[in-house]
Amino acid sequence: MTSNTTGVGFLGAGPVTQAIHLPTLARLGDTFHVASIMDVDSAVAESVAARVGARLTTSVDELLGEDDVKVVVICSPHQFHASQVIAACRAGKEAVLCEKPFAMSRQEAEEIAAVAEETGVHIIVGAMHTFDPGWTAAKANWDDLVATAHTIRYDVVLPPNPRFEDFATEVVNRPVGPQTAADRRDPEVAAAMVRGGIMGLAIHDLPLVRVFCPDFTDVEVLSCQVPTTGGYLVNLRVGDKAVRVTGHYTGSWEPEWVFEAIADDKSLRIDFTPSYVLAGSATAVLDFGPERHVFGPYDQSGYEAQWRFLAGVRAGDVQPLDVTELIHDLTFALEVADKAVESVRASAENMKDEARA
Amino acid sequence: MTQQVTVAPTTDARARLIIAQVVASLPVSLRSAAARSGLAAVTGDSWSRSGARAVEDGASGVMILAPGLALDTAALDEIRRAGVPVVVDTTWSYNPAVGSAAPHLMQLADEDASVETRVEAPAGSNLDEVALAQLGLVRSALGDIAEFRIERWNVHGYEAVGRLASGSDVAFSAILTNARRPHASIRLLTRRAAVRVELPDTGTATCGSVIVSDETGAVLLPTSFETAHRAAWRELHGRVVSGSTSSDFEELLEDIKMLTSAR
Repeated sequence: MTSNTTGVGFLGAGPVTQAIHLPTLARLGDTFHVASIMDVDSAVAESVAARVGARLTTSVDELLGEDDVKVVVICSPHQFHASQVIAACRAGKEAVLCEKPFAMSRQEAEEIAAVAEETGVHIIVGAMHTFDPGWTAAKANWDDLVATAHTIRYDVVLPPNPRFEDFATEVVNRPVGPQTAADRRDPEVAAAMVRGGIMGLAIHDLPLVRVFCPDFTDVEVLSCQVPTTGGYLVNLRVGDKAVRVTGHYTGSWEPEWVFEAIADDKSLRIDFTPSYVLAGSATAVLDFGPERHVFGPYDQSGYEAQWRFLAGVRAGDVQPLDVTELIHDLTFALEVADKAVESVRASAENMKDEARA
Repeated sequence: MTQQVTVAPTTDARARLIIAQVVASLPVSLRSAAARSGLAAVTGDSWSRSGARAVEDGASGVMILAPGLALDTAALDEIRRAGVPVVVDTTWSYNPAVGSAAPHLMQLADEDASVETRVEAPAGSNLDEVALAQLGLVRSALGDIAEFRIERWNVHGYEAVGRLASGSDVAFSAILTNARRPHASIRLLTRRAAVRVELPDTGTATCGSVIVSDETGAVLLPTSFETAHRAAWRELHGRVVSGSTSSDFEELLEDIKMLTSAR
C-alpha cells in the first residue's frame, strides 16, 4: 500500500536515480513510495517510472504541481540544481533532497538559503558519506581529534562507474563520456578537468574535510596537478591544517575511497564502500597509539542512512540540517575548486611557456 | 657452507640493537667480534668520517645506517678508494616487498603513470632522515629520481613533488604521528593498472605487501617475513663474500645532494 507512505518525485532519471535512489527506496517501502518521475527524455522517464509504478512527465512544473509528491529529489545536471531547489521550495514541498553540489555559485547558495528560511522547507544535500554510519560512529568517538589533527587526507581511486551501477540496477540511457583522453597539458583542459573533478567527485567528502578545518575560509592551494590518470592532486593549507585532496580515474580493479585525519597522538581512517552499490557502511578506524577502535562495517549504507534521516526530519524525530552549514560546505568546495583551477592553469601556462622557450 | 663474516663493534646504541638482532637471525653468516676488520656500521651526521676511519682500519664492508646530510669530501674519497662494498640500510629500501614490487613498478613507471609515496614516522622524528629513507625507497622501487621539490616542510611532516628519470610524476609525503605504527607506502596508477606497496616498520618482521592489479583483478605477491635490516645485512654479507660492489653509496650521495638542494 502506498497511500500511507510519503510520495517522492524525481527531477532527472539518470544513473543516480536509477542505480542509487530507487534501489535504496526499495529498502524503505514502509516509509516512502516513488510517486512521479520526470526526465527531459520521455523514453527514460517512461522506463524508470514503469519499474516503480510511478507517473511520468517531462515537465519540472508538472511534477512540482503534483500534490502527492511531498519530497522532491533533484538528480538533474548540476547547472539546474539551484533553480530546481528554489522551485521545489516555492511549490510547497515538505523536503528537498538535492544531489551535490546543490548550487554552482555563492550567489545561488545565498538565494537557496533565503528561500529555505522563507518557506521552512527541509533541504538535504546528497552528501551520503556525511550520513554514513561509519562516519557518524567515528564522530561520536573521536574525542578532540578535530582540534588536534594536523593532517587531513581525502583520496579516491575510482574505477568506471558502470562497474558498480550495473550491479545496482539495469541502467537505461547511460551518458557517454569522452572517448579520447584530453590533453592535460593544455591550460584550459587542465582547468576544466580540475573543476569537474572537484565539483563532481571531491565534492562528496569536502564537507568531511571542512569538519576538520575550523578555519575553512583560509584556503591556500600549494599545488594542483592533473595526474596522468585524469582527476586532481591538490595540496592545500586550510587554516593551520595540511590537507591533501586527490582523485584518480582508473580502469584498474581496486577502488579506494579513504578519508583520514591525523594528529600527533590520534588518527582516524575511514574506508568508504564504492558509490552506487548498497554495500553497507564505511569502516572507521580510530587509532589512539596502542589502542585501536574499529567501527563498522554496518549493514546500512550512507544512502539508506540519508533517506532514514530525511524520514526522521519529517517525523520530527531528528533535527533538520542547518542550511547555513550546507552553504558553508558549498562555499568551501567552490573556494577549493576556484583556487585549484587557478593553480593548475598557471602551472600549465608555465609549462607551455617553457616548452616554447 | 656460507662464509662467516665478523661485525665490528659500534658505539651507536640504535646500531648496536639492530646488529644484535640481525646477527641473531643470521648466525651462520655473521658473528659479532671485537676486531675492526669485519663489517662496520656507521651512522648519523658523522657517517662519512666514520666510514673513512673504518676502511682505514681494514673494514671489509660498510653498512650506513640512518645517515645525516653532512658530507666530508675527503672521507667520501677515502671510502671510494677503499673499494669495499657499501650498503645503505635505510628504513624501507631493503624490505623484501620492495624487491618483489620493483619489476612491476618499473615496467609501468613511464610518463603515463602517476606515483604517490607516503611515510608515517613517529612525532619528533628527524625529517631529513625520514626524507632520505623515502628517497632511497623510491630509488630502490622505481629507479632514478630526476626532480624533487619540497612544497611544505614543518614539524608535522612534508609534501614534495618530483619526477622519475623514467618520466612518471611522483608525489612524496611524510606524516609524523604516534597514533599509528610507522609505515611506508607506494602507489602507482595508470589508466588501466595499479601497483600498491605497503611496508611495515622495521622493528618487527611483519611482512610488507605488494598488490598488482589491472582490469582483470588483483594479485597479492608472495610475502616475506624478513625485516629490512636483516635483508640489508644479508646483502652486505653477500657482496663481501662475492667481492662485488653496490651502487648504494653513490645513490645515497645523489639523494643527499637532491635533498640538501631542495631544502
